[in-house]
Amino acid sequence: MVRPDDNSMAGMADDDVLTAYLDGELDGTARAALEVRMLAEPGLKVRLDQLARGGRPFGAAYAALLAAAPEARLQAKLAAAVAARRARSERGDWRRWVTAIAAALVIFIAGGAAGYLVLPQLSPPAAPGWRQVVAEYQGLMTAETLDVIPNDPTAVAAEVSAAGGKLSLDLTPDKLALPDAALKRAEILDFRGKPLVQLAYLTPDSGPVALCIIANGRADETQAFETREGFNIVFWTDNGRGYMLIGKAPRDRLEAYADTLAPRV
Amino acid sequence: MTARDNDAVIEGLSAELTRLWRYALVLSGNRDTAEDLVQATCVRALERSEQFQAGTRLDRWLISILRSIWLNEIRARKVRQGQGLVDADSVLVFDGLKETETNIFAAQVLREVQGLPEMQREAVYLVYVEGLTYREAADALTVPIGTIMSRLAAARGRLAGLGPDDPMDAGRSSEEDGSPRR
Repeated sequence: MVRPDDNSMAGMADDDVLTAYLDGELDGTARAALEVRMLAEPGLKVRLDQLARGGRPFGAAYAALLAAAPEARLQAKLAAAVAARRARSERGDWRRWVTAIAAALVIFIAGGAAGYLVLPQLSPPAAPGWRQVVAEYQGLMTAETLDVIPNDPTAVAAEVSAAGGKLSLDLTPDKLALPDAALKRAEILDFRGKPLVQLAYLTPDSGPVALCIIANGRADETQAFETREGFNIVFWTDNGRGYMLIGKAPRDRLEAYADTLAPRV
Repeated sequence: MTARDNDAVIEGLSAELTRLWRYALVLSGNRDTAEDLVQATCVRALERSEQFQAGTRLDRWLISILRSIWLNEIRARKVRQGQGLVDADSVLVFDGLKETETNIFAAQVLREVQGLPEMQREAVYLVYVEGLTYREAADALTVPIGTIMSRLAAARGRLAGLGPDDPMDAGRSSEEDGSPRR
């Protein structure tokens, strides 16, 4: 609220005062003073009307823009930022462990052989693996995240092809097709410098399911099952690439999906 | 990510993403830049989440982070690279709107505002769209309240099609540089 003493109204341009009047930003005294002036100066009232014509339904116009925001992509960027931050902060925890161990070593040396029994218990926790980070990312996804993405086969095919290129895999929507699950999006991510691809499916009854593939150069591992962050996960390693299927869908369903996809990808 | 205060910031970010994107689009006039700007804002807000004071408005805090990244990093880089501030095809920015009658009118308003000088556009956006008071807008833009009034008055004049030659306009100090006038 603009008060006369706030801005030495006498020195203010008329347009500014009239605008503040139109915007309801003048306090009672300033408002009354302006209204008195307008009675005496017809030009001022004319100017007020002119400036009023410079108003627009701004709020309504910009509301239309909100609906045009790429919300799913923005949510994915936020989720990636959260996951990256978590990974960094856990690495920070690891550094604190190293400091703690260094301190323990000093005590150990000072304390002599007694400390020898204590040290092996102080092994640092491993930095979170890619499956943990993916599970945290998945935790931020809801059916709505994927539901708002329009079904656009051309766009999905282009994303899938680009994502496959990152992994030196020839991926197509046909190869990735699953019964009762619509492939909505392929995202190219990065896990500690290694390309990571997430193929997001939406199932009608169990919400999002994702197939994630990372080029990590690890030795082959047969299919196994685990749960993390409340998700069922089926994972395996083949030809230097780690695969995981993650979702709230039941274990046997994910295993069936894995059996369908593994020979094709 | 250690404390649960982060959860409030993450939740708030998630709820504000589309509004932040809209502000970023108004500032940059470019959809790709707007997405980058929102992403950078997420990263920065998460890094600084302990600095957010519970009980204060998270949306205003996020707006100030986004604006600071735009001014100090992205915009500065564009200027250094000689890319100018607003892309020449910024009128295309709003073409993603569905072609309903309401939206055709909305797009017209958006183009008018986007055609205003940068500082007027931002004042119009914060006060008339985001609903900040003059005082809040002055704080957000770190200018005196009189500067906000002048920018809004100048914006109204332009939108009303009043030329700078209008006699009532003579003698007013230029506020385009944002200099204080008290």
